[in-house]
Amino acid sequence: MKKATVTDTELIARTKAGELSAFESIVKKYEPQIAATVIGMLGNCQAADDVGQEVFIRLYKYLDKFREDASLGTYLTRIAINLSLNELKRRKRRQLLFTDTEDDIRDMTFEPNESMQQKEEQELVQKSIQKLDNNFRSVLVLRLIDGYSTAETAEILKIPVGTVLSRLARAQQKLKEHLVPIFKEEA
Amino acid sequence: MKREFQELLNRSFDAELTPDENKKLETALQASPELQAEKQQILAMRNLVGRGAVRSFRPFFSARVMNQIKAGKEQRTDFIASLLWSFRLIGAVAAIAIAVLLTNNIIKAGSIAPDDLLAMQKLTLEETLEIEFLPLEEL
Repeated sequence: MKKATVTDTELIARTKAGELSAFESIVKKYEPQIAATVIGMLGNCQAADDVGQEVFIRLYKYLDKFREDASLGTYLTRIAINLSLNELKRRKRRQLLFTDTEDDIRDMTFEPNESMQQKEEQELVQKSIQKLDNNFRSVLVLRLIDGYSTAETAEILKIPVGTVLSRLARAQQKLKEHLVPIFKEEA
Repeated sequence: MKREFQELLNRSFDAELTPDENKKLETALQASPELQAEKQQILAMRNLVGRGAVRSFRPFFSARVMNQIKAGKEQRTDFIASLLWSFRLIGAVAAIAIAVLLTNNIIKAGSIAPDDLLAMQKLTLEETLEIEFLPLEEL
């Protein structure tokens, strides 16, 4: 039997009417996208999980303010990027105060169905992304991980397209330096 | 490798080049093995970054989000309930205090006339308008 696809508009309307299971469907639908954004920004750590939860809790709280002039995915990504940048600022303050180690960032989890090589690749990519400045990181995550166009990336970050392009070029260059051992093999 | 071609190459992945720029880049790519290698490296890196993304939070993520939302809702309901309870309590205490005062006034006055109930002093219109003027010397 063919499963009917429920649109975001329907899910939002049902959530507004008090149907919590509809909101759970939104969470399940957008978890992969938001996980890619938040984990790309913060690394695979407890803080990323917390920020991920906060993204959806905020959406639920302010669902009435969502006007659907942007897609739900873009709206959620915008929240995710803003909350991740706030978390990075907090992290920086903590590091300045306590010369924090990056234990939290290294808190990686193993999924049973992932191969060792895939896991290593993920770790290396994440570590390399974590070395980038916040501005470069957000552009790179949105463009290369989430797959947004440069115009969409500019819109989400509220910066000109030209800035997105120059930041991407710089981020790419820096990332390439970190990832040399792997992509030389690939090429 | 010329900086101009490097920039064109970078831009070609994320923006549309003009036909002129495209032609320039193509010619440069054909002429420079170094630029070709650079293109391959960028492609490999972009693939790797896309592939390397983690696309799920820890297990039972949606359940955790829903629990938090439910807990938040319950908390709000609890707050409203406790607010209502407080108002009821304040109301009851105020009603008892008013009853005690009224009873006290009735006992003191020995009547249940409205003025006696509210312990209002009985004044005539003249008494209310009576103003004592002090002699000028005393001022």
